[in-house]
Amino acid sequence: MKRIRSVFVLVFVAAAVLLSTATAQVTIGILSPLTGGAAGTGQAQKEGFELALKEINAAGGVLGKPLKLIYADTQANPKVAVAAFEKLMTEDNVQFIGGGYSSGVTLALVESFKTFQPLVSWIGGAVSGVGIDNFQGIEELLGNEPWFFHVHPWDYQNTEASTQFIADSGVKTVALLHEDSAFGGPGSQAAQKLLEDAGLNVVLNEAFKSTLFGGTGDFRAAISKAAATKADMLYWIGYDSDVVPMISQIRELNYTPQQIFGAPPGWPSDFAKAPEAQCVTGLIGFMPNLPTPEAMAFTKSFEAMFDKAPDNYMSALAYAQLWSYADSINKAGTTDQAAVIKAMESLTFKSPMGPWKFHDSQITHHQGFGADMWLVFQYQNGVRQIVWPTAKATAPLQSCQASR
Amino acid sequence: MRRALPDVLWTLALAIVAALAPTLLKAGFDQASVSYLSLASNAMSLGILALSWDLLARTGQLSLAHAAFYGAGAYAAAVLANATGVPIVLALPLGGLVAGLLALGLGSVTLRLKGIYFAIATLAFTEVLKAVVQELPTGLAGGAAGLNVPPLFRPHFVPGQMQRWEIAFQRNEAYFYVYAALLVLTIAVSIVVQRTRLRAAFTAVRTNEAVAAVMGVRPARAKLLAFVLSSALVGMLGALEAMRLGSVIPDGTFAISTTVFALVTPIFGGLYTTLGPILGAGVLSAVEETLKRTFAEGYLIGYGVVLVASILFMPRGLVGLATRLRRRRGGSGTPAAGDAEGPA
Repeated sequence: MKRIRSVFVLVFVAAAVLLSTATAQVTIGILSPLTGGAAGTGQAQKEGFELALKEINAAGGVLGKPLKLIYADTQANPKVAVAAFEKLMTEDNVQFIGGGYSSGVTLALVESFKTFQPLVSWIGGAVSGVGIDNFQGIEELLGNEPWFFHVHPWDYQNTEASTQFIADSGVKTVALLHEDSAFGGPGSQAAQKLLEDAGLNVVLNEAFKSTLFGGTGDFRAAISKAAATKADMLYWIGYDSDVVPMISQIRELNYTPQQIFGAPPGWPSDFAKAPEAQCVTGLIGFMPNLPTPEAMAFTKSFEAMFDKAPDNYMSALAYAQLWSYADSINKAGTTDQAAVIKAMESLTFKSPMGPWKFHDSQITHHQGFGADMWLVFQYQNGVRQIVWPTAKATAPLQSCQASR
Repeated sequence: MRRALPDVLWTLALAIVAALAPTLLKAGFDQASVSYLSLASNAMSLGILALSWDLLARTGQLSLAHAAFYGAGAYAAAVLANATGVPIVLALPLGGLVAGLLALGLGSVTLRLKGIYFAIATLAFTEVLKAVVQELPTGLAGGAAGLNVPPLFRPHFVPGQMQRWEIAFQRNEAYFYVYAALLVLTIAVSIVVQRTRLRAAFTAVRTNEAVAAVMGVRPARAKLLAFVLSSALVGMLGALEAMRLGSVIPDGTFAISTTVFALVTPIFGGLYTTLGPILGAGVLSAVEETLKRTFAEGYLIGYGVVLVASILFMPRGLVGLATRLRRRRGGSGTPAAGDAEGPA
C-alpha cells in the first residue's frame, strides 16, 4: 500500500512539473517610446509588433501557447526607460526584451541590461561609437555581450549606404547640410570622410538647428550657402519635422541642383502629393511598394489591420524582430536563454525586407540588418518610386534639373 | 525658532521614512522593490528640480535656465570623470559649484531685467550654453555625441550567493540615499530661506522692488543669492543624474523639458512654499505612474486633465487647497507659508 502511494505521489509530481512547463506562456517585454516626442516611432513599432503577434498566434503561438507582449513606455526618456525596464524584469518577470529606440535611452540602460542580463533584441540605438574618440557607443558597450542582439543598422552602415547611393548617382560635388545634434553631427563627419574617400568633392559642410530641438525651421541661410557652391547634389541630414520646411525653402530660393537627397529617420506620409516634393530623393528602410513577395504580403496584411500603408520602416523592423523571437524560441523548444541564443544565431528569419539573419558587424556577432537594408526613393509625379539599389528599383533616378 | 519646529519635524520625518524605505520596500515587495526604488528616486529628482526652481521664483523672477544649470552640473561631472583622475564622488559638489558660478555670472548681468525679459534672457542662455558645450573640443566635452560618465555605484555580482535583482536593488538603494540626501539639503536651504529674514527680503522684492529698496533690502543682491542657491542645487542634481544614466548628450542633458517640469511642479504643488513643490512632485509622480499602469497609452489624457483641473480649481496649488479646506472647517486659519501672496 505504501509503495502504491509513493508511486502515485511520484506520478502526480511528474505530471505537475510537466503540466507547469507545458502551460508556461512566453512573454516578451517591449520597451518603446509610446508617448512623448518619439511617439510616432513607438506607435509604428507597436503596429509592427501587433501584426506579427496576430500572425504568430494564428500559426500556433510559441511553445504551443499564445505569445504575450507587455509594453513598457520609455517616453524616449532615459530615467523613465530604466524604471520601465526594471518593472519588466522584477514585476512582470519577463525573460526576453524587445523594442528599442534612441541612443540616449540605450546608453542609460546599459548598466541595467548588464545587471539583469535578459535576452535583449534591440531595434534602435544606432550610435555604435566606432570612429568616435573618447566616447563608447552602444556597439562598443554591448556588442560583445552574448545576450545582446541588435536589429537596426549601425550609424556607419547608414552612412555607408548613403555614400554608395551618392557615388552611384553620378554627381561629382556635394553640399552637405546637417542638423547639429548627436544624430547629424557625427553623421556628417563620417559622411564627409566616406564621400571624399569615394572621390567626391564635399564643397560645404554646414550645420543647422533641427525643428525637433527647438529650431525655428528657417533654413534659408544654410540653403543659400549651399546654392552659392553650385554643387551637383544637396545632401541634408535632419529629422522628419525638418522635411517640409527644408524642401519648401529650397524651392522658394529657386535652388535646383541635380539631386536633393535627404536622410531623416522618416518622411511625412502625405508629402508625395505636394508639388515641391517632385524629384526629391530620400533614404528609407522599407517601402510598401518594394516589389518582393515578402514586402507585398506584409503591406497587404498591414493595410488590412490598420487601414493604412506601413510608411514608417520601424513597423517592418518590429515585425521582423518579433518573428525572430518566435521562430528562435520555437526552434529551441524551450525558453532557456542559451538554447534560444543558439537558435537566434543560426536561423534565417522572414521579414518585409526579405530573409535575414544575425551576422558580424565591426564588433558584435549579433547584428541584424546592415547597409544593404537601405533603399533610396524619389518622389516622381506624386508617387514614391524606389530608385536605388538598381536591383530593387521601381523606376530610374531622374535629375531635378531635367524636371524643371 | 518655534515657528521652524513644524518644518524641522516634517523634514526629520521625511528623512526617517527615506532611511527606512529601501528596507521596508524589500521586505514588502521583494524583487519588485527594485523598480519602486527607481520610481521613488525619479520622484525625488522632480522634487529637487521643483523646489530649487521655486527658491528663485520667491523673488519674483521666472527663470527658464534651470535646464542650463542642470546640464552644466552634468557636464562638470562628465568632464571631471573623463579628463582627471579625481574620485567620481567629487562630481556632485563640483557640479553644484560650476552651476553656482555660472549663475553668479549670468545673474550679475541679467537680474536687473524683470518679468518676461529675464525669462527670455535665461531661455537664450540655455541655448547658448548648449551650443558652447557642443563646440568645445571633442576631446574635452565630446561634441554632439556627448560623453560617457562612470557610475557612482557599481555593486559586484557574486554568483551562487545572490540573485541578479539583488545587485540592481543595491545600486538603486545607494542612489536612492544620495537623492534623499540631496532632497533633504534642498529642503534645508528652503527652510532657512523661509524662516530667516531672507523670506521677508525675497517677498518684498517679489511684491515691489522699489518699496523693498526703501525698506533696506538690496533687490539685486537678494535675487542673486536666490539664483546662485537655486542653480547650485540643480547643478548637483545634474551631476548625480549624469552618473546614474551613464552619459551626457547636449540635446538630452540641456533639454527644455527639464525647465518645464521645474516650473509646472511648484505651480501644481504650491508656489513659494517648501512643502508645495515636494508635495507636487510626489503627487504628480504617483498620479502619472498609477495612470500609466491602469490606462497604458491613454494615461497622458488623464495626466493632462489633472493638470488642467489643478490650474482651474487650485490656483494656489495643493498647499493652497489644503489651507482653504482647513479654513472652511474652522481650523487654525493660519495660512501656509507663502500662501497669502499667491502665485501672482
